[in-house]
Amino acid sequence: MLARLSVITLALIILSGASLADWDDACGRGLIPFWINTPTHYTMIVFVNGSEGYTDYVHLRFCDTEGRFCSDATGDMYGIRQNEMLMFSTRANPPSFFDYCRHIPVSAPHGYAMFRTVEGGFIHAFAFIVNEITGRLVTVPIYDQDKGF
Amino acid sequence: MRKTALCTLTFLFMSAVLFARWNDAVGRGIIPFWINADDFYTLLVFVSADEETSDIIHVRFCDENGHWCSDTTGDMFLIRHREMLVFSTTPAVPTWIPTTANYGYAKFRVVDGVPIQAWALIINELSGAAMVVPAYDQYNGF
Repeated sequence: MLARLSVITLALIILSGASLADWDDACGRGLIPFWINTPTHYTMIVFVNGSEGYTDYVHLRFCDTEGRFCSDATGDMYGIRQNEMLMFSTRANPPSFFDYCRHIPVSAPHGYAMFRTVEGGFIHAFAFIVNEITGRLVTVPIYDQDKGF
Repeated sequence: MRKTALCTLTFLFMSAVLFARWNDAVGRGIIPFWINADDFYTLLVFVSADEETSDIIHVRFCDENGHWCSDTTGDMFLIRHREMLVFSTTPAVPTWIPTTANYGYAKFRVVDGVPIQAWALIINELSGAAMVVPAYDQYNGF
């Protein structure tokens, strides 16, 4: 009886913890203020785990200009190992030398992106917009979402 | 007595050298993206903001899995006060640091904690366009 109660309590604790883990109470939150995905331009987002000892999880979601999620919100979690770099692109076929880049389909032509880390590791974020015609790249600054004006 | 002191001093010095690892550097930074493929190459620039003291800087390139992809035994460079060092991923531009991956991120650390300013440039050889890549303090992140 006691064992059963313990198991049920433990399951409840885990379930409540999982359901309460929301975007707002992440350890680290950041904002990429602009992304674009048109026939000539696409956006790449780079995350680097600066921690040399810990794995973390990054949630990444793209929003349109009205703040609605326009990427898959159910499959937005990615494990990032110690020292690892993750690359995401709004284009399905980035140049072949980006052999490790993941495609995130988006349903809007432009907007902003949000990300959060689960464990609060040293995740460094970086984004750039690529013009496929000219080969020009533009850096997009990343902001800490907990700070604003 | 003198021998003991000498041995202790040598041991301390050796242990300090052995224990001086990437994690316990005085200053550490990360450059989140570099590329050396097709028409693109990357320049890393370091400037010593100190007006009196020289320092030693270690620079290493990593691939996307965090594996070193540049020479780790020859990663140490002297940077004198107010000096600027430029490193390149292409042999056409000195100082060349050969890399075994197409792209990734770079890490650097300074030994004596002199304020080192760092940034990177990605250059498209065909169009001549350049993009600034900011360098981050490795202790801060999201």
